[in-house]
Amino acid sequence: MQDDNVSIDPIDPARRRVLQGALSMAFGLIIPGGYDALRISRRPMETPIHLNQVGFLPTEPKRAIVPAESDYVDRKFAIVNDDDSHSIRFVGVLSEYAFADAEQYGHYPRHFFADFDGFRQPGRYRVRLSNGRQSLPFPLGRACMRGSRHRCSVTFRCSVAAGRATPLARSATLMTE
Amino acid sequence: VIEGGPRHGQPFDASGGWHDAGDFLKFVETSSYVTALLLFSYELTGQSVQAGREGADFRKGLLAQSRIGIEWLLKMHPTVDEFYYQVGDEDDHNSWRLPEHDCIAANGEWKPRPVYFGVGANLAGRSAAAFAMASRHFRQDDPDFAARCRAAAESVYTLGTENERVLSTLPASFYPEKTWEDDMAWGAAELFKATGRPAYLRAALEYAHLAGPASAETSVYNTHSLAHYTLFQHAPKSERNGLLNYMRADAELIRKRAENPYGLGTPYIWGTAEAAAGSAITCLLYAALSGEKQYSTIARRQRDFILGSNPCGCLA
Repeated sequence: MQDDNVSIDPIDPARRRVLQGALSMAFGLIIPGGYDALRISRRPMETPIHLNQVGFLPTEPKRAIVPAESDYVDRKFAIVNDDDSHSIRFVGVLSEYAFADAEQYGHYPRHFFADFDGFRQPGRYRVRLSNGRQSLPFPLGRACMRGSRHRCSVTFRCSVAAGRATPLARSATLMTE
Repeated sequence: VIEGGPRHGQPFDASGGWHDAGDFLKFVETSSYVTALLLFSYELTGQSVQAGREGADFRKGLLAQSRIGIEWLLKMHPTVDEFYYQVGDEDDHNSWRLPEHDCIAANGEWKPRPVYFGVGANLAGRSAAAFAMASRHFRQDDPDFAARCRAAAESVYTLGTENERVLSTLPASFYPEKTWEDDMAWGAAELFKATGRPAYLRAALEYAHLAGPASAETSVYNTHSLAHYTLFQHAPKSERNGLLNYMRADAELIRKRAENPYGLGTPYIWGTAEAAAGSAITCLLYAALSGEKQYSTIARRQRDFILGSNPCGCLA
């Protein structure tokens, strides 16, 4: 579902490509990360929208938490692709959670929920608010935990050189519905 | 070098296992919990994890990881009368060093590491649970190892019955555990599953009622829910409601605590991530037996908290 109220990228794609090229040529050899570093700094602020960044299974409850100083005029949020297209895949409405002692959870007086339980399409996404703020990326899918390993179990092993401990860490951490 | 017991002063091979977080101490208290939990997960995922090669690899990995702990625990229980509960002491915090230099005679940088003799029913019960589970799960691939595990489960459980007290760490403030009845209930329940002997089932019920609810989440200090869940499936029908009520009391406590923006079911403490994971275990196990799905959702919120849905927005 498309929603014009949710901003995406104000820079025209053609101008962006020219800018990318110029900046890469100018700074790519002297700035670690070159243009990428500059591009990240130009993105909308990525916090505070808090959510599980390792991922969600398709059919389980899914929630991002949005702490705030004040109310949002437009409480719409979107789930957008985490790629250059930023295509909107789902639109929802923030609900406020009223809690008398909310400031003990991060110094913000108000908290809003972005619930997207009904969105089940596998992929890699971000939560985006109507003011342009967006979350860190997260995967959605049955295999979203596949990349995880028993890293702690390996890192904390004794009497084995660290580099030799990895073969025992072959098991993926899976979740079940 | 052994501290206390019949072999005081003798050298002792306590290599292997896992070291603690931030230092190189090794505790039976934490390692037995982790090992038992890995094996419990292995069993729990037997029916639910997705089939096929990936599911098989996942379970194989769990078993491989658990063996690291089991082999070390077997070293810490070398004979039926001996049990050692800790490697290293508080001095471990006083210097930065490479662990591979430890225990080398006269290395001048570090003293020989002490290995402490002693046992409490908390350590014995949890270790018995781990050994008993290992005896069943390694039976097919490594029957000799499984037989060693079964013998160790029975002998360490016996040590627990002879030492009905808590022994945690030295100093005790490192991991201040308070209860042993829950661990003995878990150990006896797993021994019943491994041996089929009714005496273990009777003992498990007795210890379970002594333990009651934890009044806290599952943790290295409280294995109540794990014990009650395990026992529930083998207990007479007349006992099941009582066990479920204990589990409900703990799950309900977490539900009330979780009434906050992040749905966190534990107060902020030293080790909030572990407590959140333990809250998830308590709620998941209760949800599985009761069918009350709201507790499953609470469990997932704990996982989400650990994985980034928290006031810092970071992965624990």
